Order: sequence, then structure tokens, then C-alpha cells
Amino acid sequence: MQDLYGLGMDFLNQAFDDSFTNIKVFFLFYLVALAVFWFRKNKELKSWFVYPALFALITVFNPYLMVPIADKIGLAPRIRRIYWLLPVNLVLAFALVWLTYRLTRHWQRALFAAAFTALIALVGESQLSYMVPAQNIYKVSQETIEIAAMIEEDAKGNGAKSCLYADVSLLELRQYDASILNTIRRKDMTKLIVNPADPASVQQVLDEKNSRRTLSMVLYYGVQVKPSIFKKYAKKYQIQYVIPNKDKGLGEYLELMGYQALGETEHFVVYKAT
Amino acid sequence: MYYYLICLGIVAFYLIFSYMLGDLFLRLANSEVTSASYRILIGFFCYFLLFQLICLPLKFTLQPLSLLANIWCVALLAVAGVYIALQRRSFKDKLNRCKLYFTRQNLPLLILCLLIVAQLLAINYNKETYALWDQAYYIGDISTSVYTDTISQYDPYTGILLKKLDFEYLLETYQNHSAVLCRLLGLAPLIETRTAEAFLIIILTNLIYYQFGMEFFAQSRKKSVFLVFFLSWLNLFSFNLTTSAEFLYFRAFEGKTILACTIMPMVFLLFLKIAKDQQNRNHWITLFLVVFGSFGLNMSSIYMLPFELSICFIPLALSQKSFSLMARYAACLLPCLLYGAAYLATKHLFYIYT
Repeated sequence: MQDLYGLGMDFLNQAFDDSFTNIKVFFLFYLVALAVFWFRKNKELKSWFVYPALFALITVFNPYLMVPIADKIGLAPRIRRIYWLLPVNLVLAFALVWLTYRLTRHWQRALFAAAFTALIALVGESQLSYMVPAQNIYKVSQETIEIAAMIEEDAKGNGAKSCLYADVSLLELRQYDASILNTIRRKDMTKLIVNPADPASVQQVLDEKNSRRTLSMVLYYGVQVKPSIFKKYAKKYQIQYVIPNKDKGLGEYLELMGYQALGETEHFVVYKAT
Repeated sequence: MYYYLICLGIVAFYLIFSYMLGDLFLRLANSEVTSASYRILIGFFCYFLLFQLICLPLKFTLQPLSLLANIWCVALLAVAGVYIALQRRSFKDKLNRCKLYFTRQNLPLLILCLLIVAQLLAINYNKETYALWDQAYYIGDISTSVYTDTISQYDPYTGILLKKLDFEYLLETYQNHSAVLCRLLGLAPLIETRTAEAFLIIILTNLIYYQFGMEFFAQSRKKSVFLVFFLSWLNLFSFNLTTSAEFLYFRAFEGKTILACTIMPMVFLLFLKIAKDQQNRNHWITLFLVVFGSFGLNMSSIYMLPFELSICFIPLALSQKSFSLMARYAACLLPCLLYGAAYLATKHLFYIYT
């Protein structure tokens, strides 16, 4: 029972952090608003906001109940968005409008609204500061467009192009041009944990004889496996283009195996199989 | 500029068809509601429910995307035809009401529009999503479907044919709809999703906020617009990993955002309407429609909506000691159970091999 409680609380705390770390004050205001609604003895406000929150507390946010059910139906990783169930911002906005209109004079209302607008900006976490200006209508990096253009120009529109890349920022490539295929699957990239400085760790991957994982290790960690192994796997997937990150230092390694540099961008070089 | 015009055209297309479907739905339900924004919101769910009904059989039988696009064109023409045939007599009334609304309510309307435009500019300015894997799946699926003329048969990360259709997204048809639009308009999936779809979701979300205001403040438009302002402002300062506001500003094109910012608030809006007037059957029918239409937009609705329906309606039924309320709540859970069972069956028992 204790374990279940601990597991449930860990999960709820993590979900809470994911939702409110930067805006704990908003959550606090939400609780205050609910308390005010409760003590005002307004039946409507209670049934709109207070009862659902209380009911959620004993059911959905109950550490003994939620996690076992989520595990049972195989949805545990998805349940972390359960705080969407609490209409925090809606309650706050409602309370602010309600309070504003309790004031009778226009200047009082304007002052009150301005004060709370400033307070929100002060205690909240601005979305604008996390935004990155788009460089093009596609809202992808210029590098993505440049790499796709290089491959397209070389392939001269001859159907699908089999590529090898393992950099997360290149996930945009297939969104931009679906004729570019990647050998590496999501699980090859996300589940592969290697310490490139530890020969045993590298050997462990090689011993698995999993071609995609081995290729991922080369491209993602910059581990230079025997050229014969790389060539064998590259042949297996008929790889036409290899796109390593410059940081991985694979240029010479690929050129020695006969790959020819087609062009480069700020972070990547596009190599063509000859 | 040309692409922005196409995106605005797509948004207008959505709004017009949503309005038509919402109007038809309310006519069938004998509702006396006159709000245009409410019609658009209901129509949005009708639109995607209709699309889902057409798309799923074609998806399961591995039909080409071009066939789906053609059938969808015919379906839209049929909708337009039915709408004109049934509602043509009320066009004049609607036009007059529209004129009256614009002349009497021009300031709140103008402020509402400015608030929405400000949000559209913000999301259009930004390229970051903080969800590279999710984005690669959603948009990659659309671009691959368009490129291969198939319906979600290929792995979006690699472009390789799947052995069997992905059960996690099997019942979700929102991406397939984007693929249809891209196919019909020759538009790049990145533009369709990250601009047109994102714009649409921002607009719909704000319309729901406006409807909340109308519900809270006895149809006061000024207060409703004020509520939209405060909500938008709070959202703007609510950056965190999984807040619905963060999804709205950074990943507006995703099905998950539709769940967080459109489906769940819409269910809550209907809960408010029902809490005020429990005997009104129309609200229950609309709620049923919204629940039914939501699974095609995002499959996470399968588990999120039962939670939301339960925490809203069980306390209401208990506080009112109403058995009929409980029975209606149970009826609204049925689509969730149906889709939940379908999800589990396609995960563990029945596979669709390509």
C-alpha cells in the first residue's frame, strides 16, 4: 500500500512540475479562488468550479487510484497531462472579470485591470521569451531546406532517396521533403545509450549485430566502427546519402570509405555514396 | 504572401463549412440558439465526425489518399447542397441579423478580432515547438501520405512501409484530413499544419473563450471579450512543459492541442450549459456529438474525456440527486467505451497488415 502511495505521489508530483513549475503562483491563485467560491456559498459557482475540483481530488488525483488504473490500461505515460482537467486559467480569468465589474467607476475598473495585467506578467512565465523567429514559411531551419535542395539537385528528382542521419534537428527533413527516407527509426535513436569512450559499451552494441543500432551509434555518437561493418550495413539499406553532424568528426572516416562530399551547411555535411 | 492567402482561404473554408454544419445540426435539434460562433464550434465537431466516418473505412482497407480526397470533395459538395436547399429561406434573416450585430456590437467585436490577430501573429512569428519527435510524427505522416498516395501506411520517421497500421493513431483522422487538403491544394504539409491549422485552432479556442464569457456573464458581450483578454493574457504568461497554453502557442497544429484547447473546454462549456439548464435535451445531444467527434481529432480523448465527464457530471448529479442526469452522463460515456474497446482490440487482437 505504501509503495502504491509513493508511486502515485511521485507520478502526481512529476505531472504537477511539468504543468506548474514556472507558474505555481497561478495555481495558488486558483486554489484561493476556489476557496472564495466555496465560502461565498454561491451554488452556481460551487457546481461549476468547486465540486469538480474536489471530486477530481478524490478520484483522478488520488495516488491510490489513478496510477494502477493507468498502468492496467497501458496509458501511464499519457496520463501525465491530467492537470489539463483543472481549468486554472479559466477560473482566474473569470475571477478577474467578476472582480473588475464589482467596481462601479470606469477608472477603478481600468486601474484594477491594469494592475492585474501587470501582476500576471510579473509572476507568470512569458511564452514570447521561448519563441524563436521563423526564418521561412515552412517554419523549419534554413539548413533543412539547404540539405533537401542539395539532395534533390543531385538525385535530379529520381524518386525516393535513401539517407542515413541521426541528428534530432534533421527530423524536419522528412516533413519538408517526404521523398527523403531515413534508415534510422525512432527507437534506434531514442533507446540507444552508448558511452563512446567506453570500449565495452561500444562492443556491446556491435555484439548485438543490429545494423540500425550500429549505424545510429556511428552517426549519433561519432563512434567509428570497422569500415567493413559500416559498408555492409550501408549496402543492406542501399544508403545513397549520409548526413553526419560536423561535430562528430566523421568526415575523413566517410571519405576513406569512398563517400564524396556533396556540400555542407553550418552544422552538417552531405556525403554521397559513390 | 501567396501561401498566407491560401492558409487564410483554408481557415475561411473551415469556418464556412463548420458554420453550415453547425447550423444544420442546430436546425435538426430544433435549437433556438442564434450565436454564429457557437454554430462554428459545433460544426467543427460535425465536420470531423463526418470526415472520420468516411476516412476510417478507407484507411482500414488501405485505399489511396486520392480516393479519400475525391470522396471528401463529393461529401463537401453534398453538405453545401443540403445546406442551401434547407436554409436558403433563412439567408435574408441571417444577413440582416449579421448587419445588425456588426453595427451594434462593433467595439467588442473589433477588440475580439484584435486579440485573435495578436495571437495569430505571435504563433506565426515562432518556429520552435519543443516537440521535435511529435512534430516529426504528425507532419511526417501527412507529408508521407501525400507523397505515397496512401493513408498513414508508412513510418513517418523513416518513410518505410509499416508492416501493420500504427494502432496508436489508427482511429485518429485529423492528420489524414490535413493530407487530403495538401493533396487537393498542392500545399506543403508544413505550411498547411503550422500556419493554416494553427490559425484555425487559435480562432476556435478564442471562440470557446468568448462562449464561456457569454455563459458566465449572462450574454454580456463586453464582459465576454474582457474574459477573452484575461485568458489570452494568462495563457501568454503560462509557459511550462505541459500546460495547455504552451501547447496552444507552440504546437497549435497538433491533435493534442485540439484536445487541450478545443475539445476539453468545449465539454466544459456544455457542462456549464447543462448545469444551468439540465432539462434541455439539445445540450446533451451536442455534448454527445462533441464526445463522438473528438476521437478522430485526438485519440487521447479516449481516456481524458471520461475523466472530465466524470469529474463534472457525477458531482452535479449527486448534488442535484438526479438519476436522469446520471443516465445521460452514462450515455455520453458510451462513445468513450466504444472507442476505448476499439483501441484495445486494435492494440492486442486485430491488426491491419499493409
